Amino acid sequence: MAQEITIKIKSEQEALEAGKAADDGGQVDWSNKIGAYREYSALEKFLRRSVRGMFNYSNLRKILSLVIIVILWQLVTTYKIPPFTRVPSPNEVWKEAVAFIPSTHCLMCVIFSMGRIYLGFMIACLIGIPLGLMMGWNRNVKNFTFPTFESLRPIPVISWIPLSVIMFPLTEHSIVFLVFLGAFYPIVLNTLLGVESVRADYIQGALSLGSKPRHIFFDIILPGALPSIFTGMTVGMGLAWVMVVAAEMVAGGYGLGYMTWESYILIAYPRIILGMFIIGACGYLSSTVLRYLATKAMPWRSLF
Amino acid sequence: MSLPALNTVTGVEPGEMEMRGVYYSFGEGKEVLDNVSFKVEKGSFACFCGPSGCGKTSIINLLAGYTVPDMGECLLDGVPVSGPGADRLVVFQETALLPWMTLWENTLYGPKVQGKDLMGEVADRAEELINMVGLTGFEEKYPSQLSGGMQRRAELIRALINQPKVLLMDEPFRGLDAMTRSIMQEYIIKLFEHSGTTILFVTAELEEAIFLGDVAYFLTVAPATVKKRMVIDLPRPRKFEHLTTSNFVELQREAIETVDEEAQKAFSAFVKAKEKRTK
Repeated sequence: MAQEITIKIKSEQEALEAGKAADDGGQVDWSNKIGAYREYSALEKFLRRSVRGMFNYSNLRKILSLVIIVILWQLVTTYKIPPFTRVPSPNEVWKEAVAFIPSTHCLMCVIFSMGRIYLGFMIACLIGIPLGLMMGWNRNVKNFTFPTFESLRPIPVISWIPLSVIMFPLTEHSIVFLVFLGAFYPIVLNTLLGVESVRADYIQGALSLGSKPRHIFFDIILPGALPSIFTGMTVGMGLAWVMVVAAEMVAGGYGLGYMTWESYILIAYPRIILGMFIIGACGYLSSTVLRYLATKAMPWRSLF
Repeated sequence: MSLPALNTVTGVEPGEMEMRGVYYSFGEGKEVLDNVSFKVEKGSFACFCGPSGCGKTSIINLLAGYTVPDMGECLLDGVPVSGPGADRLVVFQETALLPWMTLWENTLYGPKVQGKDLMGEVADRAEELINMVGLTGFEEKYPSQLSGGMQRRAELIRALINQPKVLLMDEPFRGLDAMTRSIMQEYIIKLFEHSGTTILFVTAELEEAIFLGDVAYFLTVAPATVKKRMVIDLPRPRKFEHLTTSNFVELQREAIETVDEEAQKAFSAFVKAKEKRTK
């Protein structure tokens, strides 16, 4: 009995050691076992991998789905099937894109909208993140702010447009305010959620090690809430784009939303669709930037 | 696998941990501890066994100073415990390594927040401890890049670098597979036998308790009190061979009987409560 157990333990240890040797980069010689195994050259490997990567069935299906949508679009517009009777065809939109995208007018629209997004979003982060952190950190702050916050939140941000036009004499200010408002709620809420979801034993462990409140805040709470903060920022960015387009359509001035609305007034229909595409692309670009920032700020999350 | 040789790097002054008539509850009608008293001698390894949900974690939380007893007191070297401190460090059930810090940063977190100089002596000790548990070369890795067993070892040295008088371990090997667990047991035995720190070790595994400890406390079902104190007179240094000696088997039989009695009691209480509800 005694011997059996020691033998068992010994074999487990051997297995572990073998596993460790393989982990350490110990090469296992498969050539004897597989027989006709041949080493590929580096170029060959690269080509095989990239060709397989690009043209596998999964990617082909994805491309096919886009192609089908464009073909459908072309069909419904050529045969004028309602409600697509006055919708421009892909071909018209493409021609408009080639003419419009390189123009200064387009560039100015993008710059204006992006600038408003950037400003409003920045202010929302600068106020929202600290507010959310404080609400999660200190019960008094939460008691003092949360009821107001929660009673204002159900009001759709779009319905703030008339009020903000009255509040701010300059169109520019009211648009930035609306962008701020759109991004503000999700940022505060998610930051608060992030703080509250930090595991208790992280804090207990840090307290045992002798952490003072400032250590707990900056070493535990802040990094612990960071994933949630970035979620809030991503959602906030989406709403910021909704708000900038809506506000520009109503309040006017330059910008992608205004450009799209103006195209409707001027009966330049292909440009409406082009405007929608540009807005979509800019929105996608902003969230890509955010995702990139998130991976840079949280190197421990994107490993493996 | 041979474990790396241990050096006496901990330089720990062991402490004496005591609970004196402690009552604790989560509120009205939710009594957890019912007059718990024990005294763990300086430099001894005490294991706490009991049915799940009996308040083992509460004992750890009270001794660590995270919570305050309703009555009675917790003492370290005869001085009442007031709040968490680096002289009694906790190794948690699940890994509590900070995911956003590398192994090196995690190890040095205690000295850092205590405002110690992180160069020189502390860094040397950190290096030595990391080497001791076989984690050299992983210093710049984040916890998520380490295996479960490596994380537990990292937790151990994160506590040990602060030279605690007492190590409070709350089911630290829970969720590890049998193989990793036996290796971790080997590590903890070596660490204990070389450092001499007092260890309070909560576990649900009787075999583990007898194999590791100098003394085992068996708790009753909640509200818990100490049902039995069992001295384990197996020789040190402990080896796996001891698992099969007649002495070990005898102790194990005694422990199983003790626990079985509690399990029966818990079961009949459960059945009674259920009958009451159906009526």
